[in-house]
Amino acid sequence: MLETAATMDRLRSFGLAMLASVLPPGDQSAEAQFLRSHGPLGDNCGTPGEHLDRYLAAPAACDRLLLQLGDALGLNRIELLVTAIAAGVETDLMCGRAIAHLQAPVAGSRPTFGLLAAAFNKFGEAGNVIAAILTGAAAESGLLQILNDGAPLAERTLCVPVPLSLALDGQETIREDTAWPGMTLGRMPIFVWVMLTVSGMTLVVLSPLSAAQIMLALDRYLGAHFFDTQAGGSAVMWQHFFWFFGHPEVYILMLPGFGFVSEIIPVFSRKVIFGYATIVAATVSIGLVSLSVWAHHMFAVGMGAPLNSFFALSTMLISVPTGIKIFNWLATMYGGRLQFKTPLLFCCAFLFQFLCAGLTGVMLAVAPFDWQLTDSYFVVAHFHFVLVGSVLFTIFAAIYYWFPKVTGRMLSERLGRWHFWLLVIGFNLTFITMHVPGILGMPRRIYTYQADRGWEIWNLVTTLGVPLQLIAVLIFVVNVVLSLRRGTLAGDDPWDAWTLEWATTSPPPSYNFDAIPVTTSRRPLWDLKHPDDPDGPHE
Amino acid sequence: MTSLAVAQQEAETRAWRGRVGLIGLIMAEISLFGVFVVAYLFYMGKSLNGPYPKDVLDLPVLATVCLLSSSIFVALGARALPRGDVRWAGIWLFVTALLGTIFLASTAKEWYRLIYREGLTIGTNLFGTTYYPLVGLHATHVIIGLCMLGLCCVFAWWGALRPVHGERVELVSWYWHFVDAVWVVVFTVVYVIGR
Repeated sequence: MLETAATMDRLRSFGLAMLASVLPPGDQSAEAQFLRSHGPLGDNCGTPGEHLDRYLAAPAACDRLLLQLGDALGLNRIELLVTAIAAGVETDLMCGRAIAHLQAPVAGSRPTFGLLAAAFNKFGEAGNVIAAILTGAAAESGLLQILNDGAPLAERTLCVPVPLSLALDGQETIREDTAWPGMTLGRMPIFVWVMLTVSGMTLVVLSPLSAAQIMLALDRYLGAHFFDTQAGGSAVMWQHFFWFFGHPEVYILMLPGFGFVSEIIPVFSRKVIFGYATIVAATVSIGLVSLSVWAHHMFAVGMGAPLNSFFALSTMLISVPTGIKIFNWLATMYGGRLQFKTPLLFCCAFLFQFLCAGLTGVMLAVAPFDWQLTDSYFVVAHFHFVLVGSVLFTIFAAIYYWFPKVTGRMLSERLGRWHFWLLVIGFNLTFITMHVPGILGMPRRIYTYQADRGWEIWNLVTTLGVPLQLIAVLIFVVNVVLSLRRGTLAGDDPWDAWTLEWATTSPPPSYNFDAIPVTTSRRPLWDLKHPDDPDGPHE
Repeated sequence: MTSLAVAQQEAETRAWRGRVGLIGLIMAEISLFGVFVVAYLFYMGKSLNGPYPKDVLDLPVLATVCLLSSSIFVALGARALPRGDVRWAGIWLFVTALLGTIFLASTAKEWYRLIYREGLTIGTNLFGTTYYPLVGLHATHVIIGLCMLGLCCVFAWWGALRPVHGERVELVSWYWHFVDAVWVVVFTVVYVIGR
């Protein structure tokens, strides 16, 4: 990202050097170094204005287009410099980051008037830079667009139309791949991998449900006999068709949660995800194997030993990639500098609860065990450990993690902790306890039972957990409402994360990025923050 | 210059999206047909009463030849268009649509015979229950394909079909190839194995 000596004379470098002159002296951050790398300003040979005049007399080739434009539109020197800087922001992410760094705490990665006014005061003539730009030829020509019309002057920002900025910078070729330059399958965030898998599963799995529903409709309205045992049809076929959708659907629900966790745990452990390739492979193989496990919902139907054995085995098989993932997440956390913010708390609870859900899942995969406990509260507890203890907890983790990016404001950490602890206590009170009446023989879908069954105490405890969960969720709602109005400003990157969404402003503008960033590794934002130690060689 | 290049790339990206979309549609359709094929195979020979397939089904040779050969013509049409050969593209697509219509007419004739002469309806027995939805689902896809091919022909007739639409016509041809491939499976299951 650092400019080479050959391009030091460009108008943009000149403008950036000018910005560097307003840096606080002690600032040694990467952004400050980037600005300073554009050379000192105002050595012994005169004022910045004279420097600029000397450069404009013999401009570098890359600036010729901009100068021609300036001539044609009658731009003054300030407008030229501002255009060059703004064009730099459009094409170089580091340039935008450096400017954003300068004008913190104002979020945004475009030059603002307040900042430019401060920098250009060196010209001496710049008493009214803002007016010159707002009413000057550049603004009128559309060369510079002015954003945030309603904001105070110092917070209005400038932008250059993207094609123009690309042309100015001589970088027409950078957008050869309009999607994401440098993004390869091996660098995709795990969340994206997960969504790719889920999309494929959705395509393959939802249409059989449609087919089954068409058959049912034909049975009911046109007198067909698909599921009509009186005419030789088979109700078990309905179960097969339904569960061929129904079980992969569980993974369609769960996989995005895996994606959330795979993004959140590394950031709060301050470590790279452990075994990227294994997690991706496990994700895809879960997607594939999940297509062959559906009939473990039907052990009690009486399919016969061969089918029962097959589906018991395939169901146990799917716990292998799932277990791999759990170990990957644990290994990511192991030895990391853990920051127990709310998102990580939810991830930790998820790890524990998902392990329980998986273990009871493996137990239920054993067909004889399933015969004993089918349609009991044990199954209900297992199901809720998956859908609440796992899916819902990852969703909460994701909300706490990405809420600042989406809204620009942080959720309250204090309320978040109340939410977390009440939910985790209430949830486990209800659903760990629920396993026991299941084992004791309590069937699901009943509203009452005889008093001598010994299930009362378990049902009592189960019920006691409910108000805790209710209060927890209410706290969450309060947290969202309060934080939306009064939450602390998040800034671009509150978690010091590494994926690209954190490179843009919070909330992101409709065009997402000023300039489409080039992906150089699995942690592109790390590479931008640490140009001296990029990830690429270590992958 | 730059904006032109960007616009061109966007056009390419869109066409690529179209291909991904159609591949996704075909994946979903494969599993949709898969369930009906599985149902047909599962209920094969389990009808409690007649008429049975071996008594009433004839090999639809002409229809099959028409549909399978139409794949060649749709490919010719889809290739002629990007070359700028709009007239021949229109002609090949029209031939494709014609062959598809013959296939559809043959299916209609077969259904008419089965319903009115042989008395086989969807509610008669399990054969009817599985035969009509499977063949009917395929025929529905033929009708949708014919609508798309017909539109292409009309546009070619009007002169609205231009070489830039090559990618879109290619997608129509992919869909038509898919409909053909499904018929190979349906033909095998219903008329060869099931008879």
